Amino acid sequence: MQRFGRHDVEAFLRSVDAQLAEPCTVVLVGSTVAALQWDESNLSADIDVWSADAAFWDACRRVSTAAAPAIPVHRASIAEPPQDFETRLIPLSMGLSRLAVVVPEDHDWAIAKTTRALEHDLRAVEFLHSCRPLSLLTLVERYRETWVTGPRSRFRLKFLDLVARLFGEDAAEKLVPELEKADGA
Amino acid sequence: MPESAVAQDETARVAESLVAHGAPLAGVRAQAHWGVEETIVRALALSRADAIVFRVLPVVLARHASSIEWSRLRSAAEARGVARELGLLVDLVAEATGRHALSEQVADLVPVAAAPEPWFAVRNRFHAELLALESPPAARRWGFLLNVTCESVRAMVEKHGAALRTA
Repeated sequence: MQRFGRHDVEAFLRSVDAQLAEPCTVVLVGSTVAALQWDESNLSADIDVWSADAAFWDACRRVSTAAAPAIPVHRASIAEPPQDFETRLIPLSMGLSRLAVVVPEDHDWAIAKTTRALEHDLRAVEFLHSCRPLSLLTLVERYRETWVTGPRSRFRLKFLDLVARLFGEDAAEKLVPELEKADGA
Repeated sequence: MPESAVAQDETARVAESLVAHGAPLAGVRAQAHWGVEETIVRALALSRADAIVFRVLPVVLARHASSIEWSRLRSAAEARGVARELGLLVDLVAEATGRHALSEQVADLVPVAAAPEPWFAVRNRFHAELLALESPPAARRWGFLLNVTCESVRAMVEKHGAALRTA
């Protein structure tokens, strides 16, 4: 199995860009977002895509048959970011001609990780917070704007775990009544 | 070499060996310092503190399930004091991938009957509550509390193609 570093991902996206005839946008999610911005080691063996124009997927296929490195690109299937996160997307400056690469804003990325909240997800958010501190107020706002498929009470617990890790257990305890009220618990 | 440097060296060598055996870890060169059995056992010991190592271990196990020397793996795990950890890993992969026969390979290992302990250090009371709610049966069977889901293990294994080469 091949593994890809930040420079490989950038090279792949440049190759995709070269295949495009028209302007095109791709929204990346998952670990690739961290790898491209603040944590080069936080990258697995593929690229997760939230959405992209059809031309992006066609270009990926052409790159995969034409040039190395051809990195597996998948549609993200289980991400649950906050409502309206697409209005806050951040463009990455990669010097590309036609391909616009955009990623979730940090708090949106953190909330999407928290909806799953496996240990490595929460540690990835902790790492983000250590590099680019998150705002508790904004996280709470985004929490309120996030719909999850499982029980709300479980998501609340995951969010409180995250808050306790980032801002201390007292900060999380203070939020309990507010979040329970907001959730109708 | 100071103790911390020894630990760092062990961590780096295990990561390199994991990559050599198919773990999807970025930024780590592939170098097989040990066979897959010894690599898995050493990684299990590290995985109690390192969530990324824990995340990739099912991929390595699934990729090599048909070629692993199971008696060597069990002996190495017992010698290193991670027999229960091996039991959990194998059961988790068996459950997540539907290959229940894998569990027979660890049926002789004895789970401890004591109260379950957290796999990772408990960070706060919310984390403790989550562990109590979310730990899957495979973890509890081996005396651990761990917020991992079979779905996430299955997705990881399938995503990295490991299911194709297993028994």
